[in-house]
Amino acid sequence: MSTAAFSPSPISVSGLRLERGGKTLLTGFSLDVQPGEALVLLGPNGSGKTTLLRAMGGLVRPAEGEISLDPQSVAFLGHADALKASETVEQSLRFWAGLYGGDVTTLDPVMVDMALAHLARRTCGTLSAGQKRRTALARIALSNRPVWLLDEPAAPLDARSRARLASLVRQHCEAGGIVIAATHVDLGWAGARVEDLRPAPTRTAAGVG
Amino acid sequence: MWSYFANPERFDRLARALLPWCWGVAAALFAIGLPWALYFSPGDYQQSDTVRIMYVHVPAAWLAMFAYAGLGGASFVYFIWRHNLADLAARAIAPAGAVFAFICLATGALWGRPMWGAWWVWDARLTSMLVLFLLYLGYMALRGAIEDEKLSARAGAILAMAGLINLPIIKFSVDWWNTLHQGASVFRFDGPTIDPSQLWPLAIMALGFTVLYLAFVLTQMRAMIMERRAEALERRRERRLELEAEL
Amino acid sequence: MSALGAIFTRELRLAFAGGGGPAGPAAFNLAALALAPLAIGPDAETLQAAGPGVIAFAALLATLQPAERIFSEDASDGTLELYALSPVGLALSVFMKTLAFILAVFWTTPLLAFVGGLAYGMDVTSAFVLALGLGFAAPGLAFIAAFAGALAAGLKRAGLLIALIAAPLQVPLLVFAAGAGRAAMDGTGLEGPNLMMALAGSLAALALAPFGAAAALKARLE
Repeated sequence: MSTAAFSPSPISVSGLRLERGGKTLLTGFSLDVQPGEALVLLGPNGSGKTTLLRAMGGLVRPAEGEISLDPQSVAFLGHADALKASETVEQSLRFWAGLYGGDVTTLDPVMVDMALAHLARRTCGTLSAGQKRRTALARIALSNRPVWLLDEPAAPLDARSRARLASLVRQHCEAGGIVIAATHVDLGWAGARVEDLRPAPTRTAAGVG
Repeated sequence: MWSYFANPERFDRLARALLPWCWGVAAALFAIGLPWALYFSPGDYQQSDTVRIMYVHVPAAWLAMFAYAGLGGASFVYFIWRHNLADLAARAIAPAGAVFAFICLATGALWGRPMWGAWWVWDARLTSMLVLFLLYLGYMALRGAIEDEKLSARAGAILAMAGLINLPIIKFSVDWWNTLHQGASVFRFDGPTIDPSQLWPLAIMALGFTVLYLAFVLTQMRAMIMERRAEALERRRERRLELEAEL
Repeated sequence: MSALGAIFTRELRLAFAGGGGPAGPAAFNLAALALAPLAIGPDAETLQAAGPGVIAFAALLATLQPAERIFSEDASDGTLELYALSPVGLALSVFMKTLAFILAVFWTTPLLAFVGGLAYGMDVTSAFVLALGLGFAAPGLAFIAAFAGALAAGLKRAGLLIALIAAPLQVPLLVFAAGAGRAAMDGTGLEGPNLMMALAGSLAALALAPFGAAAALKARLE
C-alpha cells in the first residue's frame, strides 16, 4: 500500500445550486472538508448526490456557487467502472496509473489488497460485477491523487470486499487524503462524517408524520 | 450588450414593440415589390416572363445563406456566453432558413425546366444550396433527437459553428467541381450587370423577404419564451401538488 | 508526450482487439464496391467513367459505418470522465484516440480504392492517383464522421443522424478525392491540385474535428 503522504488544500463548497434537466437538485448547499477526512453523502436516488460529486470533480458546471477543488487532484469513480471488455485487469490498471502519474511499483500490493492478484491476466469482460468494482477501486488507489470522489463505491460488493474498501479509505485518510462518497446505503466507515442530502421538505414531512 | 438583451422579459418587450413594424414594413415592401416584379418590370428578351421566378428565387437564396450566418452567429454567442436567448434565436432561425433553402431549390427547379429543359441540373450554385439545405436538416435532426434541453443547445451550437466554418470550403469545392453556371451577376466588385429595371424590384423583394424573415424569427422566439414560461408554471403547480400530497 | 503515446497505443490496441480493426468498415466498403456495378450495368465504359466517383463514395460510406461506436462506449462506461480528469485533458485524449482509431480502421481504404479502380477498368496510374487521393482524404472523412459520432453518441437512431450530420461536411473531401482520380483518367492535368486540396482538407479536419468532438463530449458529460 502506498504510504505517500498527501497534503491537499481543504475543500470548500459554498452557495451551490445544481440543476439537471432544467430541475433544481440542490440549492444553497455548502460544505467544508479537511485533509484526512472521509465524508459520506447520504441520500436517495434523485437527491443530486451524483451531480454533486460530478460538480466537485469539475465535470458539471454549477448553476451558482463556488467549489474550491482542483480537478487535477481528483480520482473519480463513477457509476460505471470504465473497464474495456478486451483489456486485462493488469493492462487497465497499468494504463490509468501511468496516465495519472501514479506509482506503478505499488501495483502488486494494491492488487493483493483488493483481492485481484489472481485475476491480473483476466480480460475485464469476463469479470463479475464485484470484481469489476474492485478493479475500479484499485485504479483509484493507484492514481496518486489526494481527493477521491466515489459514486456508490460499494454497490456490487460483498461484505468482505466492503471491509477491504473501508480499510482502503482509512489508509488514504491516514495518509492525509480526502474521500467523499455518495451512497444510498450505509457504508460502515468508522469515523466518517455523514452529510444528509435528503430534500428538506421530505425530512420535515417525515419528522412531522 | 448581450447580457442586456439576454433578459427574456426585456427581449419580449422589445420584440412586441418591434413586431408590428416588421409586419407593416414587409407588407408595404411586398405591396410595391410584387406588382413591380411580376407585372411592371420588363421580361427578359431571352427568358421572357420566366425571369420573374428570379424575384422569389434570388431573395430565397440570399435568405437561406443569411439565415445560416445568423444560426452560426447565435450558436457562437450561445456557446461562449450561454445566453438562452441566443439558443432560442438559433432554434427559431433554423426552420426558417431551411424553408428558404427549400424555396430556392424548388424555384430553381421550376426555372430550370424552361431554361435548361430539365427539372434539375447539377449546377454549382443549386448544388451548394442543396448541401446547405442538408446542413439545415442535419442541424434540426440533431436538435430534435436530444431531449435534454441544455445538451441539445450545446450540441447544436457546436454543429452549427462547424457548418459555418465549412460552408466556404463546401462552396469552393462545389464551384471547383462544376463551373458551368452563369457567373454571379448581382454581387460583383465592378457593379451589377443586371438591368436597373430588374434590379430595383429585385432589391425591394429581397428587402421585403428579409423583413418578413425577421418577423417570423421574432414571433417564433416569443412563442418559445411563452412556452417555456407555461412549462415553468406547470412545474411549479406539480411541485405544489406533490408537497400537498406528502403532508 | 509519453502520456499521449500511451493513450495512442492503448486506443490502437482497443480498436484492434475490441473493435476488430479494419474488418467491419473494409467489408462494408468492399460490399458497396461489389454491388455498384450490379446497379450500374456491366458496360465497361460506363463503369470506368463512374469508377472514381463510386469508389470515393463507397469509402465515404465506410467512414460513417463505425462512427457511432468510436465514442458511444467511452461515453457510457465512464472512460470519458477519466480522460477529462487526467493531466492530458479531454481534447487531447479525444484527438489521440480518434487518430489511433482511424489509423487502425481505415488503413485499408487506399488499398481497396486501388484494387477497386483496376476492377472498374481504370488504368494503373489513374487507380494509383485515386488511391492516393483517398489516402489523403480518408483521415479527414473519418475525422468528420467521428465528430458527427461524438454529437450523436448514445442517441436513438444515431446511425441515421450521423449520416445526415456528416454528409454535407464531407462534400469537399469527396469532391477532391474523386476529382483526383477523374483528372488522372481524363488527362486534364488537374490531379496535382486535387490531391493537394484533399490533403489540405484532411489536415483542416484533423486540426478542428477532434476539438469539436471533445466539445460535444464535454457537453454530454455535464
